[in-house]
Amino acid sequence: MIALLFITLAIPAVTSLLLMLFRNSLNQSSSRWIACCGSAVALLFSVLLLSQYKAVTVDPLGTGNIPALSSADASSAVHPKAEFRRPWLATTDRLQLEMYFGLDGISVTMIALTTLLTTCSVLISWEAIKDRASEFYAAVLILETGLIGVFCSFDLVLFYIFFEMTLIPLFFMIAIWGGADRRWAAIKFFLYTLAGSLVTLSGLIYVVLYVAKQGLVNPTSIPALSAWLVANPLPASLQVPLFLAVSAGFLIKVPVFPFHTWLPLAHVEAPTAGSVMLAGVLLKLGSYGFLRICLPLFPEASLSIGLPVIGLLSVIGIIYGSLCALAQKDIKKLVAYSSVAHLGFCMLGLFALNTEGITGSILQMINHGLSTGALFLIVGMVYERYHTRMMDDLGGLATRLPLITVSMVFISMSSIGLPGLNGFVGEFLSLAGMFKENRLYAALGTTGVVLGAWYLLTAVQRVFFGTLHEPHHGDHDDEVSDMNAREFMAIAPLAVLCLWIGLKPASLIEIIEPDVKAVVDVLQGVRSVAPAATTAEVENQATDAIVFASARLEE
Amino acid sequence: MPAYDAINQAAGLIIPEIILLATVCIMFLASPFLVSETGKAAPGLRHRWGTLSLLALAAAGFAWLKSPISDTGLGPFQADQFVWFVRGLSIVFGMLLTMILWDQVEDGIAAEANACLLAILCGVNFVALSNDLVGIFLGLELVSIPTYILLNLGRHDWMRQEATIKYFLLSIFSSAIVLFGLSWIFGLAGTTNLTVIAARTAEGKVAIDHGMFRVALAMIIGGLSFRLTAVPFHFYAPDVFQGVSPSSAAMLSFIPKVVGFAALLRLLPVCVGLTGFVNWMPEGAVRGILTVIAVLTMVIGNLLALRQSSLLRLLAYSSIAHAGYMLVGLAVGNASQGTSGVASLLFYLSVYGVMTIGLFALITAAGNAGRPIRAIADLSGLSRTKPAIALMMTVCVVGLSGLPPTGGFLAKLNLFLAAWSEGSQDGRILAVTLAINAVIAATYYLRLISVMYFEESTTVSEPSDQNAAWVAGCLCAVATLVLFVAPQWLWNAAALALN
Repeated sequence: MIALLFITLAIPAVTSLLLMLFRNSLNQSSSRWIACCGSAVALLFSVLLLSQYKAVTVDPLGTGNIPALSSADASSAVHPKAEFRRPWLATTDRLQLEMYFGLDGISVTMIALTTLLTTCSVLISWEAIKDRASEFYAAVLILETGLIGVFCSFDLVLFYIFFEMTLIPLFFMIAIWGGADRRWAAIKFFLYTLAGSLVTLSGLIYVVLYVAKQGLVNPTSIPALSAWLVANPLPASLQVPLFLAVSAGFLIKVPVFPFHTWLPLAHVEAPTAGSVMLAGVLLKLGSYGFLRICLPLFPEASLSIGLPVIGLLSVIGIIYGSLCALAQKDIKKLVAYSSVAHLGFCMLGLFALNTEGITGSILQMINHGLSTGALFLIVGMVYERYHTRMMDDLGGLATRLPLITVSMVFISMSSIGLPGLNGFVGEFLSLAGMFKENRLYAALGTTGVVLGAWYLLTAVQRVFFGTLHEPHHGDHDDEVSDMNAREFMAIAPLAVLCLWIGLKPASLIEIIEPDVKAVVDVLQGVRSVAPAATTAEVENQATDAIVFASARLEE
Repeated sequence: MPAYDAINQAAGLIIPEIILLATVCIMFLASPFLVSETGKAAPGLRHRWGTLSLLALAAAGFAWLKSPISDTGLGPFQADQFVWFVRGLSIVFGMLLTMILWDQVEDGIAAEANACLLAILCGVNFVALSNDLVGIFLGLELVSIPTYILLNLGRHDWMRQEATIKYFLLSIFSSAIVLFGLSWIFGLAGTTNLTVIAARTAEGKVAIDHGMFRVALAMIIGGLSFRLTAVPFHFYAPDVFQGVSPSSAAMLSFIPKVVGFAALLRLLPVCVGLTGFVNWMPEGAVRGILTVIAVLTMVIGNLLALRQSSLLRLLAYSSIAHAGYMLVGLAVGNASQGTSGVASLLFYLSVYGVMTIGLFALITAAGNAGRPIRAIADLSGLSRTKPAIALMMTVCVVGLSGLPPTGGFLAKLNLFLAAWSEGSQDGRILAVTLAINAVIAATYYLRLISVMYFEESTTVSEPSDQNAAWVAGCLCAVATLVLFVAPQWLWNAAALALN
């Protein structure tokens, strides 16, 4: 399995290297075909990886006897099910870095999401990127490499390296192939996220050196560090500041409410592929970082500070993001603000710190990747046809672009959280998790669902329905054509997955269940409340709710 | 012991150097007979001299691997683990430098240029080998004097002449200061033998607290700082780097640093009564001087590099800044706990050598003999005209900036850990300064990459004629990446050199 992982990691890297080395002899057409093949092969391998992972680790009979595949201590909050460990650099007997790649349920699904969205991004850039095509695709594939790398790193050094590595290609994608205000957007994006992650880095260095001094020989290995901190918790006076420092980069990356100002700008200026990757995967690095690093390393601070403070910020983010989305005239900006709201749900679930919440949060990460990625694809398609994204300039496109309209309506439903589609499961579980911890936050968060329906349906109605209202599209006078086969290829898998996750969330939940349980066990250890519902119950609740909701829909 | 046996025994310790010096003699003696009266030689002669040079280095490398390692240093030489490490550096990087030099020199002067380079490498080894103050000084001069010749060989324009004269004058001045400092130590200790000085100091016969001793050490550190290009002895570096050929600049960016650190590492522990570095930590005034120099060198080197438009001047300032990073390791020393500063220094020195020599090799390979690359603007559009060179150059530049995935990242990480885990206030200041400077430096290194990749070429591309330099650059770029994935062997070698 680990060999498959390395192949998946290497394919985009090698493809981008080819694109860079032979860029003189590549034109737009050949470079996009190379990129398409590279990303499709990576997608294929990641699907193989997912299926093999499922075959090895998921326990269909429910005996609960999943073979212990990890060398990590049982008390650790992080258990890679497949791993590759190699001593890296030992400068003293008491400080040994190791290279630690691994896979668990969360990372394997996130890797599949990354490769899928990269393929979609390449397909959607087909005509849109005309100059410096080989560099553009090289940047997309380097971004993919970095993202896969983050998801399979189980050691802090590698994690941080890949985390930062994702910044550079996206910076260039925005700065070179972006919109009118691209320079400023790229610089703001770069500096803001870099500043945050430097604070994270200093926090991590402090933890590592502190723990190394206490006697852990491989303090950069996340599973070992987590197990060590379960046995020897950091003093509370240290945990809170360190939690805040390490969170800084992730809060900005997500982005959680007052740190979100870079996001709408970056989204609006980025090319479509950049927006898809940014919303679809890059923002998840923030929530993934919380899940992988902050919760396992600082469980007490997560409870004492994370739940009340980040929970509150998430609620504000949900409502504020939705209201901002409501006020937008630019449809891409609307989708960007909807991201702020949706990631609010994700963080709300995560900081419920119980099984339902974290499961919901991970689902929300994937769902948001699928549906917002798809929304950006559609906005990109409309923009490519009319060269405007202003809702005032557009109207009644359903008669002109029926297929695009159908997919837009479908994806909007998924994004709103219509029962039976994916968005519902994630939002429901996140809110259900938070309801157990703090009813006020959960109740306020629920308003976001209503607001979400409001702004998205308004946008759909204004742009796609009503009387036909098309802007003059200067460069070609012929009829604007509907979705072509390539665009269909880009959006169809996302739509199918939206439906599939909505109908059968259990197939996804069973992959991530053991990993969620390991994190929750550690969190349970530090608080003395009744054990939370098991994941099986959560699934039942979710299924019941879906059945109930679909029954009502049929009425 | 009869004198003959003593000489015989001592000669047994320096077989690699004897091989190199014999080749130097052959080259100097044979070359005048192969050159016409006007200084022209048969075309292609440089290939023969280059091959001979590489063969000599390979033979020396073989002898190096077979050479005995003993910790006793009673004679004129001591061949301990540190010598083993320094010899390894000089032989491996000597081969790379020979390859850069290959097509940079005309056929008529190839023998002299190669011979000078080999003599310089010998000098590096002698500084590490010497068990005597006079031996160290002779080693330093064996590096300096061939350097003057090497810088001045070949094409003559006013910039090169200025650079050579500047280097010559400042170099002899610094040598004089070092010699003056060494003579004061001789005056205090009554001997020039390092082992005896260490023993007498340890017994308390030499007063370490004596003011004269501090003056002597200050002079030695000052004089050697010239070779390290440490601030405030750095002023010559930008002018010299800009004036000389890229192959000479490659040599100047690395070899003097090896010599300077080797000499400091030999002299500083001896002056507090230690023969090795295992428990050595700079203390008192020496510590203060080294800390201040390290901070100044890092900050000033990086700040001045920010606004350069000449590529070679920029690399000169970058080389100054790197000297500052390495001085952090020296200032920390081998603290009782945590990562060893000296081992981090040696690790950094090796990795830095790979990156800087690789970068200069690629700069040499990107230009050609008629039109070498001098300004940053000359690199524009290189990714279109010479994509492979641009990619490898990017690897080296990323390495110099200390970003992953290169050995440069791990090298900076080690220095940071060494300085931080040492535990004192100075150590933390050094660690933080190092981190901040790495960020400042990233801006000008990334500018080089963006020029190569995002600016259109201003000139027509000419095919390069520098194949050997291309190979050297390629080896260095690969090594930069390999050192990220597999750094442990180099660290082990560096850590072993301390014992």
